[in-house]
Amino acid sequence: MKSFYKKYHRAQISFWNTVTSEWNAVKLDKAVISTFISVAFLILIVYTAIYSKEIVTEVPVAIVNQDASKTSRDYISMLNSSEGIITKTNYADLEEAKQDYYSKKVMGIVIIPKGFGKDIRRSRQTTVTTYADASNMIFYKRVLQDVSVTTGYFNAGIVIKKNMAQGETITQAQANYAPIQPISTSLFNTSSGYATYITPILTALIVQLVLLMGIGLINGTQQEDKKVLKNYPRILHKRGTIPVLLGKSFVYTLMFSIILPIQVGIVYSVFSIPVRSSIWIILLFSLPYLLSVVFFGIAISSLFKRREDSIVFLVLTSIPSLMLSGLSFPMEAFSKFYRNLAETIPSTPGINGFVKLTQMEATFNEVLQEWNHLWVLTVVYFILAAITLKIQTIKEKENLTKKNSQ
Amino acid sequence: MESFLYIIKREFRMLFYNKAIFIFSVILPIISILFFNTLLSKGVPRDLPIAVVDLDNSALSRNLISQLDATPELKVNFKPVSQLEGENLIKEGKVYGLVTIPKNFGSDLKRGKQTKVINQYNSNILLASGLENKAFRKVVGTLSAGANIQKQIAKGTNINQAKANYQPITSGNHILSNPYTNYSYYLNSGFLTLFLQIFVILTTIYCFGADLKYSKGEKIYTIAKGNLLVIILAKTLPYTLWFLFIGIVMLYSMFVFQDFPLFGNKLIILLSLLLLIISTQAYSLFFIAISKSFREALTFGSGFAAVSLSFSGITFPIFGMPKIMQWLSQIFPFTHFFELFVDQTQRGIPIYYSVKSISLLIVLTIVLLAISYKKLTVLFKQGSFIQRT
Repeated sequence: MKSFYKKYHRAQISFWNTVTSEWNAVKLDKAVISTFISVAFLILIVYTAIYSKEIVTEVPVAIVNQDASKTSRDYISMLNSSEGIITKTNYADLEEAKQDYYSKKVMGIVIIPKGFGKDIRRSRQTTVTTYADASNMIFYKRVLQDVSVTTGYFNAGIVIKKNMAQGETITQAQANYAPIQPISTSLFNTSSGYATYITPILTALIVQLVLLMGIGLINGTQQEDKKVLKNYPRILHKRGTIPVLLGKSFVYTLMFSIILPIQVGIVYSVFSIPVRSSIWIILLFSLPYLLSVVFFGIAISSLFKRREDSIVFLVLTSIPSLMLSGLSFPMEAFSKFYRNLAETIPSTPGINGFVKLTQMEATFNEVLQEWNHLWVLTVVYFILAAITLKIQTIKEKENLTKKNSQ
Repeated sequence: MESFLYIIKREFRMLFYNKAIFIFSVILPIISILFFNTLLSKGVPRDLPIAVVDLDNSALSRNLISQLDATPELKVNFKPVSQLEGENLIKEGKVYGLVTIPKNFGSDLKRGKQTKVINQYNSNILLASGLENKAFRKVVGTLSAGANIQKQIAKGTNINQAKANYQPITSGNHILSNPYTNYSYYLNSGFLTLFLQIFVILTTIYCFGADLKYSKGEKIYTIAKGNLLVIILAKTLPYTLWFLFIGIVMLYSMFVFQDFPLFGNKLIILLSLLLLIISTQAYSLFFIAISKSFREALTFGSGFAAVSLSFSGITFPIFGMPKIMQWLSQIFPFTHFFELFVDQTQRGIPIYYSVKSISLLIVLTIVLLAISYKKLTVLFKQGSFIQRT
């Protein structure tokens, strides 16, 4: 019992020593502070600003009207009043419209055929031809969706009017026209806005980016200066890495528990992005996310020789982690290998859980799966970090003794 | 000339001595090409999981379910008994949408009374939910049209007239540029070229920064006899050629290995690649010139590369951004490169319309080099950055 207390006491001292030296390292390193601030706030704000208009409206579309009847003009004005596109009608033929398509003044071309109005009056089927550019999916979807929705309404209008002329009531005519009515309800992000979609994802991703960069910078410096052993003298003792790792993670977790509420508080209210969860639940969920990222960071930062090496994390890992989170491209389309790889990265459950909590009104029970996943990752990376830290210190000590003996 | 060759030789020795440069210029580019090509090898998402609550449980409702399941986009993975249970499945992220078939669906349909089918979809996941809702509307629309037409046929209308009565206007849709609406063609064109840009930035900043961090700038300055142009050329030209080679491998992976659509001018595509590399190198020199330390230059370079994808308009169109962001997007070479690249690969437009992007890339390169020249000279005379960290 006594020896247990003694061990505990020593570990406690080592823990607080680590906390102080890590905090001093963060405080004295201007680069770390500027990285934390610039990435956590500046990059989040720039990205949110890019998407701040939420949806794409007024995609210009060229209309080649070969008919010039009243019906065709009605159709065009209906197209023009749809949410996503604006029509440009001053084209005599397809060639003229193509010129504007090449110079990107229009993103699609709609051709209304000759005899459009006449055919409709005579109950003959007529065809509206649409060319939509799929080199950018956003334009493509907008153009195609708006044209087909407008055509659908226009059709329904014609048929229902005709049936009413034959003596049906409007409800009857409607029911006859569409026996099954599809009703689509968009949940959570009701207008399918881009900022509302991407900002929560980025907030959670940035946690991982900033921590990896910060930890890499500090560990890189200690390695450059060969100060690991000096800063954490008890590391080589049996189980000596445990209090050191706990101390380090304590500092970073505490820092982010302050940064995260500020991010959510400022950026989300400025760009009016909804937060559908209390900050305490978010913090509770973030705890294993922060811990697993910190240990992950310590485990891989021993690969870096120089402090600068960690900065490349920002560019190299952001897009792959975003893709692998499954929120930008459905996970179902990835191969088994990438799905397994995604499971090993803290940001995958981190982003998913954060989005569920803040956007999807999920209760804590509904993110338990992600939370547990993060705890498993925390344990795994803790062990890895302990091993790499020990190896790193042993190497440093060998180098030092070599130098001393020379 | 002699000093030019000497610096080149020194650069080659550094490539193998300095692991970081070797990793950024050789290993990671190859990994990134493999990664993106295999990650999105299924460019069109299939079998997105949905849940269906069948409150009717008739032959007709079961038919609707099997129709939903039969579309390539959807897969009915869950059949919860209540709507609440289904909504929880959405929140847990197990399904992208929940389709509810109301009670009396089958009998209403038979009696000619209008009935509804509800689709609740998770629009927090934009791409998947968009595909889900589109597939849902298509299935229900087809079923509804079938019911309408059958009713007319029962009254004695012939099938073609019944179709025309139901749908006076049909749509003939033609997809330009990306005939299979393949997301890999769309996203990977951005990702692969962006990563090429990232590696050019990192390599350039590293091979200048590593010298300047350890105060070797002055040594090179003496070797080059004070001629900055010699230093810049000798240190960047080998990488220009090397990344051109990597870029060609990347193009090969896209257009030969993966069959991306290629409708434009191949020579212009190569030119666009060259311009991307050179303009990025110019930007990297600029970041070195304005930075106080190696670390700062890397931060600038990484941040610049990280945001340039969003500024290029691939994820959100430039004209939909706030005005200031629209202006900012123009200083990113990647914006102009990407426009040029897509124009000459997928869109296949006449070269005349690409002159604008080509000249803007050239102008950006020249301007950036002109601004950085003086500061770089000072930096090399000093021999190192102001700060070590």
